[in-house]
Amino acid sequence: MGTKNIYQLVNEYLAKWDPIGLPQEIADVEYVDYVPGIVEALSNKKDLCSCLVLFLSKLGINQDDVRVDLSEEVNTRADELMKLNTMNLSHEVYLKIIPKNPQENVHSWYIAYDNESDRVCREAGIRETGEVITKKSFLVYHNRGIHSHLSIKDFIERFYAEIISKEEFESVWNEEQLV
Amino acid sequence: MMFNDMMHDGGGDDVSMGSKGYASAPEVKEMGGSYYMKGADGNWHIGGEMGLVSTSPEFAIVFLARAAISSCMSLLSSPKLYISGHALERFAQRGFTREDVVMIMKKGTRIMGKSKYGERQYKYTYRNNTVIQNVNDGKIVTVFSNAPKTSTTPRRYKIPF
Repeated sequence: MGTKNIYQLVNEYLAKWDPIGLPQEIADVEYVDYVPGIVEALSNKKDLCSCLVLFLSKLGINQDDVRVDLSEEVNTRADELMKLNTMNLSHEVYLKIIPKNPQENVHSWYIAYDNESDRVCREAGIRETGEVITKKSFLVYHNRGIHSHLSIKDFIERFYAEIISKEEFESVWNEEQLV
Repeated sequence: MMFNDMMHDGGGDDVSMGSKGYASAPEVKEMGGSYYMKGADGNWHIGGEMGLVSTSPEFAIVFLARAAISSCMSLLSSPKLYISGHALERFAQRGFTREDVVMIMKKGTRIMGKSKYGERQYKYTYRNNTVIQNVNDGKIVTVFSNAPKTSTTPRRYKIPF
């Protein structure tokens, strides 16, 4: 099983594409909102093309303003994105959330989401200063955390979650919890 | 004819513009659109003019019309922002308001750049907060900050002005 998941790959692809033309570290998180929709459409090229046209239009990029043929561009991009889905992928997705109204002193949540069983399997909360103050594993189905009812789409669209790498998640997860 | 003379001629109390010398809260009266205060010397001294009072429906109409025109003018003079759907999401995510964006565009430094597809863009930066605007249609494309890693503000979120 690979170490990267499809959400991460699509996000990396969009960040590299970066139609707006942003500094790299901004581009890395600028297009996360569009990832769940694109992942859903990956199995159907027509859907994927519509999704990409919508993506460009939300960014304010329209055919009238640019010199390249956008339909051709979208077609090429769709082919490249569909290839990602054939790679050896991990089914764990790693997310980071900075809550607007932090509770229990948690400044950021780090979440491991199992895309296959469609549920959160691990979550860790850190303080503003970086110490891990809560850490939970939900390997058994009946053991539910505070984020259990949410899907990846919810995390991204409602909580502006960022997609992070396995390494970033594990580095937090492996830290000792402050007692 | 002097002011004092006028007041005397009008049959009112003795009024002068001289030193007042109030010992306690003065007695006040209104006369001919002005108000007068009674001084320690027992004379009435002019205190100021009374405000305009609407005495007929025409006044009310004029006041209402003036208020409506001034509020319309303030709306017209406030800068219009055209914001892409993507930028609106970034506003919400990163804690930027329209006022913040206007402030960055007014006070920030502006440089010209280009998107991946060659569209010309203005990049406004003020106190490490950045607004990107499309030159062709004037639309705001995105907003972000360059909060340093050491800052308590999460990266890309608005740095308070």
